[in-house]
Order: sequence, then structure tokens, then C-alpha cells
Amino acid sequence: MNDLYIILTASLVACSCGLLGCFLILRKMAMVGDAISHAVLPGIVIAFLVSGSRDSVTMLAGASLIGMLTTFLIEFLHKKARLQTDASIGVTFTCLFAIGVVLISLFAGKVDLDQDCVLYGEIAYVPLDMILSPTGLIFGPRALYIMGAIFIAIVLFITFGYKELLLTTFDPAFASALGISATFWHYLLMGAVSATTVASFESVGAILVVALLIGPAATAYLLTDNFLVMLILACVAGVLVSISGYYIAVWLDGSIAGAIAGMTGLLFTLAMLFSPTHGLLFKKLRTTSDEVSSA
Amino acid sequence: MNTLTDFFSFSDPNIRFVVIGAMLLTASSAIVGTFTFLHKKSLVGDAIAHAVLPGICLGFILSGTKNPAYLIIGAFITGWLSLAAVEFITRRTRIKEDTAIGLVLSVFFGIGIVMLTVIQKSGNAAQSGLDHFLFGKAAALVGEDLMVFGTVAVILLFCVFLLFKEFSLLAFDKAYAQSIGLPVRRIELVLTSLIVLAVVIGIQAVGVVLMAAILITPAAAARFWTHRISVMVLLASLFGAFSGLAGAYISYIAPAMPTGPWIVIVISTIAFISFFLAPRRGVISRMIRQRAIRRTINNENVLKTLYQLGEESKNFFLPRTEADIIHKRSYPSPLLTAVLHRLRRQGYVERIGTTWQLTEEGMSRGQRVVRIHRLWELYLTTHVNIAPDHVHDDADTIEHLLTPELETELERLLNYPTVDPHQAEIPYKKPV
Amino acid sequence: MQPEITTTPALEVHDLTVAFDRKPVLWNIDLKLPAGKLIGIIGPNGAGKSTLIKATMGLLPLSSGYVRLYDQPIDNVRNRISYVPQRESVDWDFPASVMDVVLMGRYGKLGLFRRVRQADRDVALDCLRKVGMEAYANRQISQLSGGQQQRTFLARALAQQADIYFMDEPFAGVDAATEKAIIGLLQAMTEAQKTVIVVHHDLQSVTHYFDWVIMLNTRLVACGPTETTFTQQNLQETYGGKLTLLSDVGDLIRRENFPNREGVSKPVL
Repeated sequence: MNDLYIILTASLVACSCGLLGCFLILRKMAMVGDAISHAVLPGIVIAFLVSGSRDSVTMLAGASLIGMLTTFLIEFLHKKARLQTDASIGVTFTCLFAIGVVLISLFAGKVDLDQDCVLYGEIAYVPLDMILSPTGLIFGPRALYIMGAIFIAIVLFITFGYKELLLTTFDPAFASALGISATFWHYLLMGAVSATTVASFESVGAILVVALLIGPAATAYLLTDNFLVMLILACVAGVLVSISGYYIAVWLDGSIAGAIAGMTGLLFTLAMLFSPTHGLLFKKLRTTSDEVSSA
Repeated sequence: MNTLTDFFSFSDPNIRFVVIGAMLLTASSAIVGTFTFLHKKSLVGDAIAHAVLPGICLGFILSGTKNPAYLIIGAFITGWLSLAAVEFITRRTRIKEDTAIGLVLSVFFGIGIVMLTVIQKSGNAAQSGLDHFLFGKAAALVGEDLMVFGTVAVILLFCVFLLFKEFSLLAFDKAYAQSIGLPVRRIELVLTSLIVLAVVIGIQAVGVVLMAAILITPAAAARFWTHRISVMVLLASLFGAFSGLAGAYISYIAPAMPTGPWIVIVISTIAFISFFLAPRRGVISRMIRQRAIRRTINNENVLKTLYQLGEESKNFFLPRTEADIIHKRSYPSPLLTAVLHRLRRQGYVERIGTTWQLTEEGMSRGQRVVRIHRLWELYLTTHVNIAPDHVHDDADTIEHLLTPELETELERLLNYPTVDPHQAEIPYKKPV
Repeated sequence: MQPEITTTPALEVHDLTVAFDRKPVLWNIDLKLPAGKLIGIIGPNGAGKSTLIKATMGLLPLSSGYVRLYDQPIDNVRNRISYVPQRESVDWDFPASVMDVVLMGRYGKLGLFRRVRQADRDVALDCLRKVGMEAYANRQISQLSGGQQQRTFLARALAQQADIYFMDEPFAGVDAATEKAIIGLLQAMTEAQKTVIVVHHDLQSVTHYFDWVIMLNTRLVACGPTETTFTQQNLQETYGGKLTLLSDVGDLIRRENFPNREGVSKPVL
């Protein structure tokens, strides 16, 4: 049963991240996602200190705000201080992450977080935190419910904002000409990325969030030319890496989050080599057969 | 204060090691980082930093010891591998560079974490402390480490010194470097190796996640103070060394504090101060310059108005009340008073009772503003085809801006005209 | 300087100045364009041709001036304008089909949250037919040739069913057949009283293609019916020699961080 809880939670994280990741990589903003996933740390610690617990709406809201602040800061450094984009991303997220780590050490007694957990999470402990009814009935792990809610929220967000998200991703200038604000949707998307990152953070840590934001989406991007299919494939890839990663981790007796991140790499490599449309192997076969037929 | 003197006397060899080590690591990372920054490869540095983790673990598993030499070799290999992977993915598939970097970064790191956790559970006693690579161990550096890092740092500095001009040229104009026959590909290879090497030793100070900071942030900060690459490299290394020192000091007075994150906070603070305060490029100095410009504009506008009043009454040196001036061109009254007092101090007007009178200098400066205004209006209508009723606003800006050289050029181009498009006379300085 | 247009102009640009990093790239442009004409914007590289149409559509901040379409501010008539950006401005590796892209033209009419309906698909298919691309409706956009990409963009613009069309170099990198097909289509559109404004590079074809021309080189050189405006003298002025003084002053504004047009009150619309 515990296996199932862990795999389910990981899959929900993977699907939420995978859906958002599709937009991130097509907007060439993968590294902004990476930056946000690190930068929310001080937000989490502060929300923790203020609210005194992990599962609060304040935490989600506060951290989403920090995520948008990160986006804003990156743009501020780029536009106002005229720093090149890659450097403004690097400067911003390392600074915020360092502040987060220092805050954790500063309030070590009060904050139930440690540095390792920040990096690679504690998904193995998911089944330890169950929601119980007053009569002692077990409803299942808290993290599962939180991630379920986040997943549903993301699906709704993408369903209702589908047209706008798609258009501002593909052709922001055209979107603006139609009167659809590219900036507005940009910040909304970053807010969603931040909220997902925060919710996933405890279970899987900062690095796995990045792996799941980018890996499944990149894999899906190599497998299809249809955006809707890409979204679905990203989810499928997310579930696949969650299951395989979990069992590999159990087999090796190592970090589950790390193993899942490793599996996104393996899955991507497979797609890169064997994708029927964009795989290197088939491209190679095609060019050789072309050469043969032309010769 | 005791702790301060204790610390800076460096009598304790441990403090000596830590301080020298931390400064060495941060300064050498900053020097290599300057070129990483200039080549716009900041995030690549981040990817390498994450990707060395599996190499370190592999080095440990294969050698069974924490001997830095083995770990560095392992780290170097996976660091390089990650770069090769990013380049391969970007070149051979439709995946863009940012995605490739993020993917490689997280996958390598994930694999590293798995290896680390497996090692930790293996019961090998030698493994304790391996996780220092995650957040750095600047506060726990010992003499043995220093030997290794010192050697690597010297190699780094030597290479940068040797290839300084090639790296600079490549950062500035790769195509040109190629055209003059530089072996661009090989120089890039050397630079990349240096980045990997800097990362490998730098993570000892701040750990993998924050490594990008000591690579990039000093360079980003230094960029705001200078336009010269050599000065930039020097400044970056100074900033880096200072943050290393500060980090070591903070963890000396508060042992529970992690050194690495503090180093990063210090260097980030330096960077943010630079963004805001640096002369010329800084945000605040730009704002101050704007204010100065706005002040000049106000000054000149009032002088212009006084001059125009003089034109109307054919006497430039009649005393005017503030009401006269406002009647000609509307100013908020307190602003006008302030500007007039400033002009008096600068010798452009004199105060007579409650009235104001242009001085000779004031008259000549007001005349220049009016002259440029009308010349520019004429230029816009004759040479730029702009309707006469639209040229006024532009001229209102340009009249404060034009340099004497451009003014002469304008007069020459228009052949010293006498009237503007609105048939107003263009005044020239007459020999009195 | 410019012939009077007696009816309500399709587009009126009044004293428009656009600056990048404070340096003006367009100085005080005044234009009135008639409805139902095929209008070319010509000028050398860096003359501000694309900037002019982007600023007109409100995609760039204006340093001065205003724009009115059919005597209305732009935001009131968004659904009457259509835009064909430069082909290279988007990533053609995007996972979408030709149909997906053309349907994007319907998004403005649909509004928030509403989904694409069958009626929209019919319109999109009809537009694809007009540009001769109906066979490619389900083709992935990454597999299109340059000319086909341009036709797809054109179909998307048509699907907006707008009255005024802004096109940024629709003939760049397309084959002769496509160019001929597109120009035929544009001429048919103007016959249906649509106004089409095209950024154009090739001087040879100007007189064959356009009813009106806008000749631009950071400032407006001339604007009017092609036969009276597209003269040797105007060409000389547009392409022959830059106004060094003007660009020197522009550089000075940027270098000094000058508050361009301080204290200019925005015209009330």
C-alpha cells in the first residue's frame, strides 16, 4: 500500500510538472523554471515560520508570490540593470536559495526542514503523514491530497486558458495584436509553476521538480508534433518515470527522487534515439536509404 | 571585538586554512567565471556544477577513499560529459539549449543523489563528509585540501593569463576571431575545461547548487564598474575573495551557520549594491543623472522664457515679476521660485526686489536655447519633412541637448538661416 | 504634401515618434491612409518599417503621437485589425498543425474561455482554400516550406475577417509562384474594400503591386498614390544617404539618457 501511495504522489507531481513543462520548454524558459524551483525556498521557510505548519494555503500563496517575484527580479535585472539574461537568472536564484538555506540554519529548531530534504525531498516519508478522521479512519497521505488538488487546478487552468496559453507561447506578438496580453499570461503561468513547485517541494525537493518540469516535456516534444498529444505524452512519461524510478530506488536502496530524475534522463535518451518522427536512429536510416535510392 | 582580532590574527592554523582556502576557491572561480559570463555561458556553469556530483561519487566508489585527487578526476569526467551532452542534444535534436541544460543538470544531479544515498547506506566509514559537496565545506578545509586546490588554482590562473587575449576576443567577436585564423574550437575547449576545473574545486567552498553564484555573480557585479576586461577580472577576483573571507568569518563567529550560503549572500549583496550604486551603469547613478538633466532643462526653460519676454519688449534686461514669467509659460509657482534662485546663484539672473533680471550670461544662454530650438524646427521641416505644427515638441527636447559641435553643424547645414518655420527670428550672438 | 483623403481614413497616424532605448527610430510620422487600398511601406534596412506597423497596432510604446483606425482608438477596433508577423518571428518547430495555426486567427473573436467551434473550423478551412493550402490542413508546421509557412500565416490573418491588414514582409523568402498567388489574393481583398498594408523590400515590383506607397527612412519621406509618389526624387531621398545629423542627435539622446519629450501632454482622444 505504501508503494502505491508513493508512486501515486510522484505521478501526480510528475503530471502537474509535465503539463507546465510543455509550456516552459516551448517558451524557451526552462531555466526560469529551474530558477523558480530554487528561489521558492526562502518563501517556504518564511511561510513556515509565519503559519507554523506545512499544509497551509498561506504557504502556497506566499511561495507563488515569491515565484512571481523571482520572474520579476530576473526581468528587472535584465531590463533595468541591463544584465544579460543568463546571468540575471543565475544571480537571482542562487541568491534567493542561499537566503533560504541560511534561514533554515537560523531557525533550525523551529523549521522542520533540512538541507537534504530541500534538495531531494522525502517522498519515502509520504505514507507517514496520513489524514485521519476523528474516529481513526485512514483517508490516505496528506501529500497525495495536496498534489491531487494541485493537479486538478493545473488541468483546469490549462483547459480554460488553453487558447491564450497556446497563442502567447507560439506567437506573442500576434497575441498582443489580438488584444491578448502576453505579459499577463506569462505571469499567470509563472505563478502556476511556483505553486506546483512549492507543493511538490517537500515530497521531491528542488532538483526533482526541475527534472520533472523539463524531462517529460522534452521527451514528449521529441515524440509528437501535436501540442495536445504532447501534453498527454508528458503526463504518460511522468507516470512511467515515477513507477520505474521508484522500483529502481528500492532495488538500489537509494534516493527515490534521484532515481526518478535519473529515469527522466533514460526516457529522454530513448526518445532521442528511437522516436519515430524525430529520433536520431530513424533520421540516420532515412538519410542512408535516401542516399541508396538516389544512388 | 575579541573574536574579530582573534580571527584576523590568523594565529589558529585552522582559521588560516579556512580563510586562505575559501579566498583561493572563490577568487579563482571568479576569474574563470568572468569569461563564463562574457561568453554568456552562466547557466552552462550551473549545469556543470550539478553534473560533477555523480563524478565525485564515482571517484569515491572506485577509489574507496576521499582523496581529493580521485574525486577531482571523477568530477572532471562527468562535468565534461554533461557539457558534451548539452551540446549533442542542442545540435542533433530540435531541443533548444535552455531545455538541454535544465535536463542534463537535473538528470546528472539525480543520478549523483542516488549514488550518494547508496554510498551513505553502504556502511563504508570513509564516506562521512561526502555530502559536503552538496553545500560546501569551506569551514572544514584542512592543509591537505589546500595543496590540491592551490595547485589547481595556479593552473587556472596560468591558463587565463596565457590565453587572456584569445578569451577576450572570442567573447567579443567569435566570427572575427575565426576569420583571423585563431583555433576557435580549441580555445573554446580550453575555456570549457577551465570552467569544469573551476567548478570542481569551487564546489568545495559553496557546494553544487550555489556554485553558479561564485562563478557568475562576481563577474556580473564587476561588469558595472568597468568597461575593461582586465579590470573586470581583477575586480571579480577581489569581490570573490572578499566574499570568501566574509563567509569564513561569519561561520567562525556563528559555527552553526553554513559557510557556503553566506559566501553567496555576501557576493550577491555586493552585486546588488553594484547594480544600484555603480557610477554610470548603476540604476541610481542613472537616476541621479536624469535628475541633473531635468534640472538643466528647468533652468534653461526659464532662461528661454525670460529671453522670449525680452524679444517681445525688445529689451532683454527689463526686470520681470514671477507672474510675468508664468503668464508667458506656465510653471508651478514654487518650482519657478526655486529655479530662479538657483539661476541667481549660478549668475544667470539678478534679483531686484521681487523682480528678476537677466544677466549678460543669462541672456546669452537663453538666446542659445531659443536659437537651437528654432534651428531644429527649421531642420525638421526642411530636411525631415515634418509638418511645421509638429516640430515644436521635439525642439523642446533638443534645445537642451545639442552639443556645440552639432549646433555648428546644424547652422552650416541650414546655411545660417534667419527665420524659423513660424517666421520667428533666429537669434545669433552679435558682437556687442 | 499629401493628398487629402475625403472619406474617413482607414488609418490615421498623428505625430508618431517611437524610440528604442530612448533613441528615436521613427520621428514624428504623420499619415492618413485611405480604405480599400493595397499600400506598400518601402525604405532601406533600419528605416523603421516594421516598427511603424508594430507601433500602429499598439505593440510598442509610443514616445509621442497617437493612432486612430476608422476614427477610433486602436483598442476599440482590435477585432477589425489583423497582423501577419515576419515569418522568422516564430519557432516553426512548434508542435502544431497548419489548421491549429489558422484557428489562432479566430481567438480574438472567441474571447476568453470559449472553445473553438465547428463554425470556426469552417472559416479556417475556407481561408486555407483561398491561399491554396487546404490539402495541408493537417500537415505539421515544421514540415512546411518557406512559401507554405507564409501562406499559413496569411490564412490565419484571413481567418480574423478583419478590415485592415498589417503584413510584415510577406514576400521574404517565398517562391515566385507563392508571391504571385499572394499578391492576387491581396488585390482581391482590396476590391472587397479591405485595407492591406505591406512592408516591402523589392523596388522593382512596387508599381505593379501597390496603389499607395509609404516611403520611410526613420522619417516619412512621402506617402501617397504610387504613380505620383513613387518618383525618382522621392526614391533618391529615401535611399540616398542618411540624415547624419538626425541619427547623431538620436544617439546623443540615448547616450545622455535624455528624457525625450518631457512635459508633453498626451493628446486627449
